[in-house]
Amino acid sequence: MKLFVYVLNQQEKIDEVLSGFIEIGLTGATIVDSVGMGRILAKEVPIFAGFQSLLSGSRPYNKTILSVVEDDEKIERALALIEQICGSFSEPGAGIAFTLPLDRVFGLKPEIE
Amino acid sequence: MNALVALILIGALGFAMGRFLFLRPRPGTLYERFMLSGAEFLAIGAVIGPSGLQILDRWTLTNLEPFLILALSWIGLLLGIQLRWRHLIRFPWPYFQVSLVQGAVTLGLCFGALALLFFFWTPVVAAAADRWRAALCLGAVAALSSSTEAALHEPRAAKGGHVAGLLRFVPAIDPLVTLLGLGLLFSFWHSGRQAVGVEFSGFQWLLASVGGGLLLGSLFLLLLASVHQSDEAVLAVLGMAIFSGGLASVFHLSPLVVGLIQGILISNWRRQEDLLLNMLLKLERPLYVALLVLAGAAWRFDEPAGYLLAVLFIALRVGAKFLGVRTALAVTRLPFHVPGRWWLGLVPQGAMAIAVAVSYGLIYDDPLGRATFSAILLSTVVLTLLGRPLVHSALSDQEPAP
Repeated sequence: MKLFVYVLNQQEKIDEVLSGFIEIGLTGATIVDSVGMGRILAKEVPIFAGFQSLLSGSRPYNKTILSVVEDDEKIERALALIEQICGSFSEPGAGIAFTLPLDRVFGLKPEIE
Repeated sequence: MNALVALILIGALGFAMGRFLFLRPRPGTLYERFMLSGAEFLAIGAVIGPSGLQILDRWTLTNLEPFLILALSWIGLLLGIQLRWRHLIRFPWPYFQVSLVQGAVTLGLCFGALALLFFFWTPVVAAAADRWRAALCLGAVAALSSSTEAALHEPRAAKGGHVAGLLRFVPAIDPLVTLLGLGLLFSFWHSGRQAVGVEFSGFQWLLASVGGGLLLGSLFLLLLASVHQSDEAVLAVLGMAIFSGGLASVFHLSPLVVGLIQGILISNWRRQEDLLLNMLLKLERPLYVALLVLAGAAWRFDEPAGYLLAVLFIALRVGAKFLGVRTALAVTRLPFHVPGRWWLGLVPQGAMAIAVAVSYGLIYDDPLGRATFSAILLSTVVLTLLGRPLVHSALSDQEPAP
């Protein structure tokens, strides 16, 4: 059993990603609004270049998806799905995904196949 | 004081202090308490200006007008060159709708209310044309909101999300409404028919503004084909700003509007426009500090009419902004809920207001024009100082996610 964490930079694709998760049998997840470190530490603010500053921090906010997954194969399918929707992880903008092994989990509802 | 010496000193101040202006403060630091808001440089200008210690006298200020025109043209170019079509389309249409509708409604309401007020009463004796253009100038400024205030205070106040993002987006777009208003003002209440020696209608002057920007933009597109390095880009940008500012000045048009159109054309036709944009951005802060000092120097703070008009303008602007935002949100289908107090985040007016005031003050030096200039400066200072609580209030009202 693993905790699957995905930081989605392209907020507008959250619905598409979650719908895809359901289709591959990953039916439970918690979504958290999150902010990148660069965004917090950026000190200079625009004076006349307001629009340009929106582009330089063009993805100022992101969504962090947390999901407990029992089956490793579903994680592989989730990763493939994310790359299909958001682009390759080797390219900037696709976000970050990682997994963590879990010792004990309480209150987890069974996944719907 | 010699104009060249004054320019060197103000330029040096701009380069020395510009880097400290509008830095997002780290909580608990000394800078957080004594953060530079821009008002300090207006005060410095006012103290050394003709109404203060007269270190900068009226003659010197008049001789520095070409520098002001260059600065305004630079700002117009900077605004325009950001507006690349391929970047604009990355943002959803409802964002543009909210920005433009709230700006247009605020402009319309403020202009209408002030035109009506000036019909019966003005703080100084003024001709009918002066009243119309003062009302339109203040209306155009009312449409603005501040990119700086939203960016400066929003990260600490917001829980994040679309609402805060929209608060940063709107001030980046609403200068377009303001500059449209300014373009109409400089065309339909054109001041230089005798000076220029051309008898155009208002619509023809408007076409001249747009045509001038397009013509210069086209000429520079040809020139820019051979610009590939940063030192060449400096000269190219300087040349563009001087030419568009010069053209605007000769024909009594707004350098902001001509520069904006030139910038839009260049950024959408040229693929390597980042080089030019970086050059423009490098001088953004020093130029703004210099603009603030010179605007402060030109401010006749001993004339009480400006204070009275500032109080009236702030009250009208706040009301018009509230109604403008309400209207924009009512006619726009946003995919998320915008809290009721969100409009407060658009109340601060920033650097563009100072640029518009300078552009207006350079051409219209009548008593009501001076009171208008003063009112814009004062209202910008007041609303900038209130920026932090306003932005915090706007974003602290977010409803919890369902």
